[in-house]
Amino acid sequence: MGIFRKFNPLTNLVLFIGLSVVTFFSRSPWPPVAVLVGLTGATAAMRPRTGAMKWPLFSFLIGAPVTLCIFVLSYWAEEGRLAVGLPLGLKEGGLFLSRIGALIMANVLFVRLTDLRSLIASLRALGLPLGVAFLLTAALRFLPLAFEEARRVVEVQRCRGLRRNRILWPPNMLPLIVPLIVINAQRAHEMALTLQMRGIGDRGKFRPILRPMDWMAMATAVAGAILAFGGVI
Amino acid sequence: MSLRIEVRKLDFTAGDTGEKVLSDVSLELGPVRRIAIVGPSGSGKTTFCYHLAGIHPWALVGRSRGSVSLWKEDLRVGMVFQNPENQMFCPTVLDEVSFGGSSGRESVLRALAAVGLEGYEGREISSLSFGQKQRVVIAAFLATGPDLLILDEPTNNLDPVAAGGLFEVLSEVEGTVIVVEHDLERVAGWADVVVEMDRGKVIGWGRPEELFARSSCRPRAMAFADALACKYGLEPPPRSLPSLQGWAEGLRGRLRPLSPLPRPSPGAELLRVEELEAGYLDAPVLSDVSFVLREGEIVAVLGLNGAGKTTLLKCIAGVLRPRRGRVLLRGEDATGRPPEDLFGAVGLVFQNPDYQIFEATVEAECAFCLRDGLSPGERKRRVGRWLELMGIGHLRDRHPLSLSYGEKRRLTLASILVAEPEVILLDEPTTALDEGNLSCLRDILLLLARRYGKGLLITTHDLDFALDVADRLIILEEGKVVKDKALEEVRAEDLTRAGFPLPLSADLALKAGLVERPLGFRSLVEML
Repeated sequence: MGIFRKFNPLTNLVLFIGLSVVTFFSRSPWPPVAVLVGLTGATAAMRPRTGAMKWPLFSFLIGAPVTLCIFVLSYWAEEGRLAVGLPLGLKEGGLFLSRIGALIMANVLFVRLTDLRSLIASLRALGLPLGVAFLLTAALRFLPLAFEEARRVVEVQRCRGLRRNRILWPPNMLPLIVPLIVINAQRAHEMALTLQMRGIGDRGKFRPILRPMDWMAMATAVAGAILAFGGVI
Repeated sequence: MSLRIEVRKLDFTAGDTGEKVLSDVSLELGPVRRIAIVGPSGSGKTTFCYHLAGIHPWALVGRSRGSVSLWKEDLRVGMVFQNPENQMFCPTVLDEVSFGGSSGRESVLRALAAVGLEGYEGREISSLSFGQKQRVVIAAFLATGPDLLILDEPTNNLDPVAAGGLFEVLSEVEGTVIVVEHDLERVAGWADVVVEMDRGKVIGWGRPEELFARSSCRPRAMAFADALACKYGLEPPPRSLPSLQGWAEGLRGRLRPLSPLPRPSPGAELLRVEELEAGYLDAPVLSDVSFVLREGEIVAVLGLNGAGKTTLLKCIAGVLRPRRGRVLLRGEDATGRPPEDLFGAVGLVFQNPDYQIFEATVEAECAFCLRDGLSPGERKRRVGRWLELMGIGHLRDRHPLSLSYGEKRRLTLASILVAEPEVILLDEPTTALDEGNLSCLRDILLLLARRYGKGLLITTHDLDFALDVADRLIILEEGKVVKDKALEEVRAEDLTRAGFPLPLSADLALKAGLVERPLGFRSLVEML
């Protein structure tokens, strides 16, 4: 786990993009499975809060059996025989799920490990305008906070008698959406003022530090992505 | 170095409502280090601070006129808002304080030491308490060497220990510090100059003892001493808080003790909590909590930040499932029932009204809880009745988001009361309320308990308010009940031992021998 923390955020970004490309374009089932196992182990070693992981994992696990069924049914229909459709469907469905799982894990790891200041510096070093670099990085930090606020709003409205299973009905979404917009607008406003006061708009302050290990990791990620994209692995 | 501040004929008119938020504000202060701005909610304190910080063009929508001069070139200003979480961007303390890039590691570490967070560099922001987060934000500004640091109601969410610690930190900060604060006793002991605002104007400024001597806005202890002197025909009390204590001691034995206000005996049992245990993930928060709440009774749960007060309310309201123990409502087991099932029996009023407000009018917001099962006529009647009782009946057609903070708090209470729950839970109801709103809240809570027989459970850090309204005090420490006593049995040591310094007015009354047990400011004034 420590290795990811030692990398520059730009390296982590390239690494996770590379892993995603390998996962999605490799023909063999083993690279996605290996990536998924590796990232799951790394995430578990990080001991994340269950709350932060609960919803992505919950959605993934709920969707997994349905996805497998769809794959099996599709291959059964295509091949005309269950005996052929079942193993094929399970294999392809499993591969698809391992790709999605790896993507979720890569995202969780990236968000947890990224230091906003260094990432801005790195994106700026790539030539991105400050506004765009900051928008991207602030969005990464803003999303988990917005989810936390959504949970609190749901708690409040449930205490006012709004049933949980009805909250997602369109007419019942206003009690959730309006407070969320108000709170997050306030948050965004205060964040922007703070950035202004802390001099974040100034230019030329960001200096990314890329060490040999960063270059090596990025080269490996890019090579893996090229091999997967070219159909070699 | 301290700043000279000169404000001339400053006006600010809000762009959306056309309301004049600041009107002809003029102020001239020589080099001063510690400035406090006081005044009721809506008096324009925050708007004034935005102008002092020079961020009004981005912070406000409207037209400003007049001038603000701080007599320094390349001025660096930091402003700490009420919620530090809105001012943080990085995962660890060191990253956060260095964020912005202009501070070297040494100045970052010096800033952390200045706010008492040495050794916290590697800590994750999410693992910090509210007070610690506030200190990180202060350190982040200190690292840039600000000439002026402004804090907008920084103690709103802090317990007395953390608030005291914050003011100690602020006393050590180099440069000029401006604090917007409602707690005048705290301000009196800290500020070099107090600026008083009301309805968009600066109505006075001066050294604390000078200003409080001529203003109607005074720390509660001074107001109590004045009332005492008036009642017994004594010579005027001294104008500084430390000398008041000696003055009160000198009165001991000379005055007749005050008769306690009558308290009605509580009725039947409404809520029973038995051996409750609860927590989040593997972190236990509450353990072995038991108590009873009766009809017409107000129970205040006191505890420092992180003691488990909000968790307790969430367990009772069904938002959080306890790990062990039972919650009984009128003898019926309600443990673990979801909040929507308990709706109508238990009402939980949360701390921040912005988490619930979404309708277009005050009336519709209040009626939201009643959308099912009641005729339109009955709904209108109930809503009208509770809005009137909360003193916001005349605002029924206004947009709820346009209300003042105190009015929003009353609206959230009304919107729970329309469901007519027997048990009402209030989470930190006094947060960010000024004196006028506090008085109003006290009257409302006493009305609910005494006239309507509701059982009220209030969590608070505000000991003075708790002593004013509660019939019983429960003190929580690290998730455990360490005291559960009727108000008449609570002694000063019970409170100070739990980290709650006595309110100065209660201390004066005890020192003068007027009462035997600590009481709140308003109760003392009523007893006089």
